Amino acid sequence: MLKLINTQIRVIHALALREIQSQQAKLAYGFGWVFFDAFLAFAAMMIIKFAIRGFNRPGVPPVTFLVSGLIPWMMFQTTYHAPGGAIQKGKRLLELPMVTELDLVLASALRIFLVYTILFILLGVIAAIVDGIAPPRFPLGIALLFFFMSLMGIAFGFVLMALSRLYSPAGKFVGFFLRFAMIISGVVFQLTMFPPTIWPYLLWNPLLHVEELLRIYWFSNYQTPGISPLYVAESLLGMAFLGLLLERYMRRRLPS
Amino acid sequence: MSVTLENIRLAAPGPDAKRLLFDGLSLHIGADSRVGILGTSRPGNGALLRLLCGTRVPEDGIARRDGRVSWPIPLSSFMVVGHTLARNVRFIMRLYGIDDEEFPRRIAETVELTEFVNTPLGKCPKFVKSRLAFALGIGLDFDMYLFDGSFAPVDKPFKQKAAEISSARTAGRGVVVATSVPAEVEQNCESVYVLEGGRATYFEEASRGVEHFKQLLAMEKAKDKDVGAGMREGSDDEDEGLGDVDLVGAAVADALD
Repeated sequence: MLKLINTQIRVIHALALREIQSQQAKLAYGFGWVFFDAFLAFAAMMIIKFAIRGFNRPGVPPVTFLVSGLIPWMMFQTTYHAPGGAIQKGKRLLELPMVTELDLVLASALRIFLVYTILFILLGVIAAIVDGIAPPRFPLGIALLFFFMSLMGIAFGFVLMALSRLYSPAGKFVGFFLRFAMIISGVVFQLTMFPPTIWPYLLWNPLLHVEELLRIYWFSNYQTPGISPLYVAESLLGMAFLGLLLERYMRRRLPS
Repeated sequence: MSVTLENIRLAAPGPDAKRLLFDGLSLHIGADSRVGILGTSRPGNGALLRLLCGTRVPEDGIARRDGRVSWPIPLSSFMVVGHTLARNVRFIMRLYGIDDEEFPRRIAETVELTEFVNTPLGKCPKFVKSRLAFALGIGLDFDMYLFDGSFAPVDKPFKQKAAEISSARTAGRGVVVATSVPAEVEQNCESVYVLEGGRATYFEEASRGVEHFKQLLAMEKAKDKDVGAGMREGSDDEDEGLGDVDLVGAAVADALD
């Protein structure tokens, strides 16, 4: 068992490094694009936030609030595209007996995670300086939640990949739904900005829990009712189980 | 070390997925055996090699393998043309857990590519890619080596040396050569499976299998001629098509005769 895990880690490492090296060769479309994309999204959100000043809660640092919500969300969005994209892009690598579809997906997700981690740290430091706030209260918790967000992206990506193979426009519907989900997932607006009557329904969304927990672990006086780390763990386990199950089921139905 | 396929059913890849490449195919390749696979269909040969190394999963049937089986040599699809030869080799090293700094240099030396070690593959002459693909496949330690098309799949000037390298490397190990060129099997294999109608027929003596395959080729050719003649006459008969008949392979086989 240990030998198998070792082999899998070795393969993922080799694939992720290969992908990073390929991206270095075309910087404009690789790392450069991720940073530019994040900057554009961040600028757009800042404009929205400052335009609707009423949504800014007193005592909440606006720039750090946005960074702590937007970057994990962007990573989730990029990661959930990884399963379908990585398998399509790495199809030729599947001709090597050592490489499986799961390896390709995990390697791609690892690369995305590394790029967004660098971005998150960089923007986090800049935001803290701009807002003039102290460093995060519980950095380990933030790191763990950031990692959970990546895992959720992978698991959700597997579910979406299975759906897309059964019904090809599924990806487009989900993309549309996620744009709406961004509003209710705590990326720009806190849970407490919504009417209390809909809180119980909004709290079904595990991404909202992750986003709000990130702020709770970051700021000293930030509080949101009904948020639970246990719910995040349970949702992650459930989604990962479902995602891997569907991946296993769909593997035989891959077009070769 | 052995590979066994039992009652395999496999569909053709891509848009032709309803057509079956294999239906009820069974074969066994034991340790140290040198086996040829003769098939008139190139996609069929390739698919069988992928089944043997485990990169294709059959729709039905059982594929059993123990020991380390190579990929179909010369596989080059994993190579990145923007990467140097050394970087491409290092990717395989990481994948297979080879911890030897000298490995890229040794691989390059084996196939006389030392001067290209630090050159991006895209800027190298054409023969570099095929030699590297051959050297990487043969350079790794496997219990069974699978060859796609030829036992020495490189450019003509290097073919003789490549055949010597292959022979030395595969001594005492399993060898499978899947091809439509009978001479490849006659020179390098002891026994042979002939692919016919989605199944494999075993011949303990390679020469007998080759004879059978040549008859098969002649029949396919005659059938093609009939179809061609029928089309010329403007016949309304249903066109059976050429399927995946490897006419190039058949022509080479004829030339070798």
